[in-house]
Amino acid sequence: MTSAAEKLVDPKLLARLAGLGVKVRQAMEGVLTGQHKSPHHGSSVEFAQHREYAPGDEIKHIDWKAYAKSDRFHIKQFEDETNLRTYLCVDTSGSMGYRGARGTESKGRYAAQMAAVLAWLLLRQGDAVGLLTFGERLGAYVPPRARPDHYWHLARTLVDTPVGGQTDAVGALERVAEVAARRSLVVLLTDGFDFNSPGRMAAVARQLRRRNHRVVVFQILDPDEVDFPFKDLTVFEDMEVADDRALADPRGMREAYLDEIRAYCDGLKRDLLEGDVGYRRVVTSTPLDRTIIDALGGRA
Amino acid sequence: MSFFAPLMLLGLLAAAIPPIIHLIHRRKAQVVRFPALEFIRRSNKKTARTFRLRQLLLMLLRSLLLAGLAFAVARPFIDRGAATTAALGGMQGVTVFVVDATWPMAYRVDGDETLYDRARFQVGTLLARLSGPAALVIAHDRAEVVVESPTQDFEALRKALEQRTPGHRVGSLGEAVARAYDLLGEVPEGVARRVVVLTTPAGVASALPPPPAGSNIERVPVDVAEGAPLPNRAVLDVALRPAPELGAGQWRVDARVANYSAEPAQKLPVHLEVEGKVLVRGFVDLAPGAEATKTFYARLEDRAEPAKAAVVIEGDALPGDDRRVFWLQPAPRIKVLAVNGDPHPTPFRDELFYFERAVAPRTAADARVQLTIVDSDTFDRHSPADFDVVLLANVPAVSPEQARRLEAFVRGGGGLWITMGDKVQREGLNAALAALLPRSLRDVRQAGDAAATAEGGDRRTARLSLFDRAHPILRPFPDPAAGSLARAEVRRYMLLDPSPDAGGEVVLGLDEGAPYLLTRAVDEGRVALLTGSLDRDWGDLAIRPAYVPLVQQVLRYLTRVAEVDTTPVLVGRPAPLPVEDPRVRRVQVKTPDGTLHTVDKPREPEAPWVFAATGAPGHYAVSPDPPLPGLTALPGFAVALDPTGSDLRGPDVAAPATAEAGADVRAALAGGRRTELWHGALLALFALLLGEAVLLYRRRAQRADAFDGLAQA
Repeated sequence: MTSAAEKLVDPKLLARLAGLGVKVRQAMEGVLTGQHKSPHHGSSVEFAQHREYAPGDEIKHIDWKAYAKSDRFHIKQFEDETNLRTYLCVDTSGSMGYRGARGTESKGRYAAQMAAVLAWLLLRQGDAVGLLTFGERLGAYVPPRARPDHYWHLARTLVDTPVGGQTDAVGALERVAEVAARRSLVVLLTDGFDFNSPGRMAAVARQLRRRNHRVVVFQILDPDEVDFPFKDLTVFEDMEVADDRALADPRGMREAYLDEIRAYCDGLKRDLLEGDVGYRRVVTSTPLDRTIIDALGGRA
Repeated sequence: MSFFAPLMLLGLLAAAIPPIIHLIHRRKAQVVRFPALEFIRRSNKKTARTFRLRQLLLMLLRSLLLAGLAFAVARPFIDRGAATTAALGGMQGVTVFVVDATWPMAYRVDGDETLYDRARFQVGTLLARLSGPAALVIAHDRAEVVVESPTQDFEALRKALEQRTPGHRVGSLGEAVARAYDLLGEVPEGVARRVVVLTTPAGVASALPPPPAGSNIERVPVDVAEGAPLPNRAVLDVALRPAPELGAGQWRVDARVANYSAEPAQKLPVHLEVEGKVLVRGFVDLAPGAEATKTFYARLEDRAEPAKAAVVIEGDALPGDDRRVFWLQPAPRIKVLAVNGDPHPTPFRDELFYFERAVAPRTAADARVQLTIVDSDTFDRHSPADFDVVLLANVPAVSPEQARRLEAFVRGGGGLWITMGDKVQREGLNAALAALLPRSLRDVRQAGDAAATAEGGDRRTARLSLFDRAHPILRPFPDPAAGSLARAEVRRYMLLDPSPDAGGEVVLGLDEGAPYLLTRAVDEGRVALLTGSLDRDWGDLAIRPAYVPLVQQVLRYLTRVAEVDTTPVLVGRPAPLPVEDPRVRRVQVKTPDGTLHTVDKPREPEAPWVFAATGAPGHYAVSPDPPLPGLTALPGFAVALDPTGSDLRGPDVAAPATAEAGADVRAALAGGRRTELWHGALLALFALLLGEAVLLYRRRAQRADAFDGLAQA
């Protein structure tokens, strides 16, 4: 546990979000000990931990021995009983390092904070959470675990992963497809600017969906990318490819720029939604808790 | 194409400013690391061409705008004379140009172009058509021969004209024409000779000297205005007169304003300014060609030294005569000689006890009365001529000699105030002052009922009940019938001759019908007669609050009103300096432009002090050099333009008598008329501005928030 990991997300924000739960629409594989209904019954083998009883839990899963000792209701959880297995895929490419004047954080930091909050919420309700970072190549991979202290492992990994290189979201999703044997929730946090393989990201996401994984893509954008507020003649420098520059007069091409980015984002959204892949666009000027509340109240 | 102000063409360099600004901005382009570079690159491909085209167009428009502005300010025109010159085959012989550069030539005919500028251009036009030599005489403040003998070096003539501007005098045109004849006198016989006089319409109509008898010199007066009307309004002169009846220090300023045009001037603004600040504003209506007098009343507030003043009318095309300057002097003191006919060792029983206090500086600072009191015996020692007002207070009688002097004094403009009392011998006064008294004195009357008794409570006094409110003496009293004046009680008074044809104006009258205060004008002077006493012997007016203003008003009314010599010193004429103090050996004169001149005392004892360098109109301040104890400044003087130059109108007949003689000159000038292009240039500028506005508007419209939907997705 490092101080940097502690500072990734404000504890007060976590406290405000404590009442939220992560629900997935379709039935998840796993024992019905949590909030997610499992198609498999009675296949538990290895005790994992006790969890405090919460309204909605089956009474038959209450550990009466533990109740006799502690006078509290606890539910026994086993390794395979985890309701939900979630893979958080966080984009750490160079473009995620951008932070405009109005953004609360850089896009990469904002994505890391979102991932941390989602992990904390999922772990808190007994779900397993894994992490995969990716830039030009695949980065750190943390296998899913359901232990509460697993949060710190994830947070440390998020903090320690540097940003840089080009975006390879396709590689990250293919990696998840390899490691996720059971039906899982795959959360992709990226700006979606993968110009090397346009359209492939949505295709792989749809493939995952066809294999009964639930996939949600959060496209994280800075306000500057959304409304392009520049005015004076400017040399724009790429954040992922060195020495890639373009001189532009923003006043003259703003309209065309807005058309371009709108077309790109709308196309991505359309491709994902057509494959029943969740999609949400997030602007970093929005407070994090607002983003999380909106996301959980909506699709995820 | 030519230009009135070719130097302004330097402004064409400003056309380079927009490209320079563009290049500077390009060099200073900031570097921004941005994630969505791919979109920028794609957008650039789409928009770069049209955007660059629009930017180029905008830059071009702005460059053209600046260049067009410089072009318009340079005032271009097309000289249509080239074809005419060819047709005429040039003007043969020797020509002397006489160019009027007197102050009326500063008249602005078109924007900033003066008549002199136009004359300069016309000379240039004629020089371009001359086949022979030419000379130039300029009628400036004096006639100046620029080139002694006719020459082909026309550039020297052009330069000489460019170096001059209209002067401050008039009247040198005739002399200049005479000098031109002299120059042509040396030209051999048989060669065509002409004098071309370029002047105002009034100059054309003036009596220019004819060519010498027997000479074949052709005189061609040219109306520089080319027949265009030159309306002008002017302040011709200003007359000053003290107006003590309105209070101390009050001046009446009569400004004569003229309208030299065919159009009436309705509500022409005219104002009086003192030390640069507008003191009084007014308007004057002037019929075409008429004059009117506008009267102002002004007063110097808390000021002991003279102030610079001017009457100014609304500016017109000839600004030189729109203001007339003068010095406004502080008010002189009213010098009063009071003859006390009933002096008394007990102060409050003295005849003049109350009067003296009523005009004392503490109570009458506004009146500025300088009082000299004598008794009847010492009256002869003083000359009334040294005073503004003489007061005969309860004086028994005056000798024939005194009466003669008093009559001469009054007829010369002095004021005489006669008040009654027990000492007055009416037969003596009636006889001696018959020519001055408003009415002859008859008898002393006890006011009230003759049979009244104190025990019976009967009325034994009279009151003032008749007030001539239109009389200047009562002007300061808002409602004399309701004030303390009406409450004064009169116990005794002098009855006057009641005949219907009796003279004098009754200012105050008693409720018994008898007059109490009368005035009368005798030639230049005035006489006032109070049928009561100045002290409390015959009534209690002296202890009423209204007594003080009444006494002061009577003195102001009677004060000798002398016309102040406001004859202006015209530019170039010597100005007499009013130096009376024998201690002064040298004076310093400060001209309107701040230049200091010194004038030494004339060597001859009786010779007047004179200052000659009156080259410009304005205020000239005079001070002793060095300053003397009690004398730091002397009365200044004002120098004005000669108002005869204000009327620029020519004769009603358009063509002058010598029209046939100068046919070639007129034809050349007619061909040389300019077509000014700056109007069109301004129109083009407006179109350019409109174009720029359209381009900017389109760009702004495109910059609307077209991607709002994305942020909310």
